[in-house]
Amino acid sequence: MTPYTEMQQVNSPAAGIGNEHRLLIDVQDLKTYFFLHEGTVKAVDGVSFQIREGRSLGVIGESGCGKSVTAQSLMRIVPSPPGREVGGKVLLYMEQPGGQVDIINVLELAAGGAKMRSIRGKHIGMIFQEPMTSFSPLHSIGEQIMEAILIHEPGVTKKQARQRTIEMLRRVGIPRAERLVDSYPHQFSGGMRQRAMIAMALVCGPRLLIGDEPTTALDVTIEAQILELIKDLQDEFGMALMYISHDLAVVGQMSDEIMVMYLGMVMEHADTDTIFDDPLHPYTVALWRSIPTIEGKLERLSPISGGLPSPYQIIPGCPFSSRCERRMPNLCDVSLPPLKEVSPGHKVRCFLY
Amino acid sequence: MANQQEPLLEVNDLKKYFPVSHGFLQRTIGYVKAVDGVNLAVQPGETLGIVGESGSGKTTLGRCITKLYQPTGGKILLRTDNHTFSVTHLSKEELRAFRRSAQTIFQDPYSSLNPRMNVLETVGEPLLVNGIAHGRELEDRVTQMILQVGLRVEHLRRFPHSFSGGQRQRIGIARALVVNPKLVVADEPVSALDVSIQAQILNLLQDLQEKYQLTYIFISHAMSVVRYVSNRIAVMYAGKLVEVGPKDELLANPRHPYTEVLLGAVPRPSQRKHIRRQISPGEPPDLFNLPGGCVFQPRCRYAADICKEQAPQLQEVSQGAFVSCHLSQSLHLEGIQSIV
Repeated sequence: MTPYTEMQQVNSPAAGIGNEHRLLIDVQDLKTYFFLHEGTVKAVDGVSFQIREGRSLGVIGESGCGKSVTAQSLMRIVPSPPGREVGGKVLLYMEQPGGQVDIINVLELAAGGAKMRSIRGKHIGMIFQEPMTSFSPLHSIGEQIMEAILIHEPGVTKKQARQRTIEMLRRVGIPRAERLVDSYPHQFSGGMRQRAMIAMALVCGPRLLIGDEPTTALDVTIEAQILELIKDLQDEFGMALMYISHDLAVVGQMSDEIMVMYLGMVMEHADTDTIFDDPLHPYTVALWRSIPTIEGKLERLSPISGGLPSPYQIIPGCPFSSRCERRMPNLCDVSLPPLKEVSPGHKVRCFLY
Repeated sequence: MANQQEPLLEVNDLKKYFPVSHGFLQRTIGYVKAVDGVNLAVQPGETLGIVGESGSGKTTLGRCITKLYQPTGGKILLRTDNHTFSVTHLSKEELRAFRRSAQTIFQDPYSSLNPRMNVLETVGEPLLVNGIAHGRELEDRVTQMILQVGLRVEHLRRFPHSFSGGQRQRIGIARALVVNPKLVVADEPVSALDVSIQAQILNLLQDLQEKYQLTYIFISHAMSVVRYVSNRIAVMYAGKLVEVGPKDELLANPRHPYTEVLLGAVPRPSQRKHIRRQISPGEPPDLFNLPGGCVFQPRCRYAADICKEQAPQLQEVSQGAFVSCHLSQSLHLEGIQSIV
């Protein structure tokens, strides 16, 4: 089995009609299931989306929606066992020096193999909610970041790697970087650790940065600093961003387009303004009405009734139907609506449309 | 009553310092000043929201008020119909009565319930311990309470692990309210819950407040949640109360530079990707090593010399609005406009 689905000489950008940004990742019908003793959890159950160079995709959803597992599948870091990608494709478009673009289906690579390791860090970087899980407590921040450089770029000397590390730490706003580079993770505050994690994720210049709730555990004033930092770096490096969060307002600030997930599926996908101003899917609409905001008229919140069903439960029909105010009996609880493009760039999974 | 009611809760110059010890002999080398001279009054029936970031002291303040911590200094008075409690010095009898009057709802629905007690035992325990009810009567009261919080009779004999986070939080709320307290300190009661469940719990808390005439102190780091539930908002920073005032006014026209920073940092739905915000640099101070003068001064863009030398005091600047800042009269600070 060859790890490459196709290797092409592509002279023109692998872009769709009317899209000026080159395609970076094309996820087609991704399915990632967890095979547990109690049953099978279909954490990601048919998710498709594209990320283009320099663009930001926000992913919103609550517990169990599959947003984190989707990102983990892209990076092939889903704990396995019990998890496994069981279907679909994750096509990575990697531009080589010389202009050609290689297309690799990441799902066909060995998760622990050399090729996947070189993709992680060099092509895709990831930052997580809890920076301590990214760093080994036994090594200094500097050593760990340097390691990332030395692994991915053979030919770079230790001295050069250290210099680049210090520069990157400075760039992410760590003061006295030339001294703090030798500090240990526990010596940094939460905000500083998050900055160090961003430095580690970006030091090899990935084309895509995935952030999985990176600011959720931070104080709001520190969060604001980190979000601005990510935006600045994104502009500076021309990176694409996949920003995952349950916080709608934060996702709105960071994204060009937003994907709303529920129980492993995409419910709605549109550009940010549309999701905020004209959402169509009942779940998106209900979410908006149920969250307190800092602006706007103060009205009684309308909670979404019921709760999330058990992850082992097999739900016929639309996963949201049990809680949906606009559910149509004998349709929504029986058949799964397809994800349909109802207007250019706006996809909804709902029989109402 | 036609006359001005006396505050239900009065907090005077409250201090809570945690000693830091060092070395083989465990000598005390200093203190973490978690709460450093807080003055507050809470009216019956209102919801006072307390906001602040890590290290602000809001949780410690909440715990001092319900006597989960013994304050290092200052006074706390709780006025109920029968009795005025001086919380810092309660006799054993008074303590039991106090616990019936002031209760806490905790943040983490997973660690705040004993996994080995079922719902009936958990919600019934306060009644049992306080000698309020037992046996059949206890079960009736518990049943009534859990129905009020949206649970069902069949939940009585189930254990915490079989409930979702939102349901567990309801159990915690039932436990706090079953003794009919006057004051409830809710410390981040919805932060650990999914967004769509938060609304259920927030509405429940509001409904129960109306029904049982409760007074809430609602502690949270989430401005949007505090905005929704509060009548007045108190802002804390590094153990100090920097501003208190009626909610709408505080949000639209903050008077303290830190409040301005805090409001500026909150992500807003109207700010889409292309909008850059003004971000304040720096991090909250080390509570063991506080700066001299005003605690916020190192991060304050308006700081003047007096701010480095003298700590400001909390002063009333208009009806019900208090600020602790040397310069607040001359500053024009930016808040959040509520109608976009």
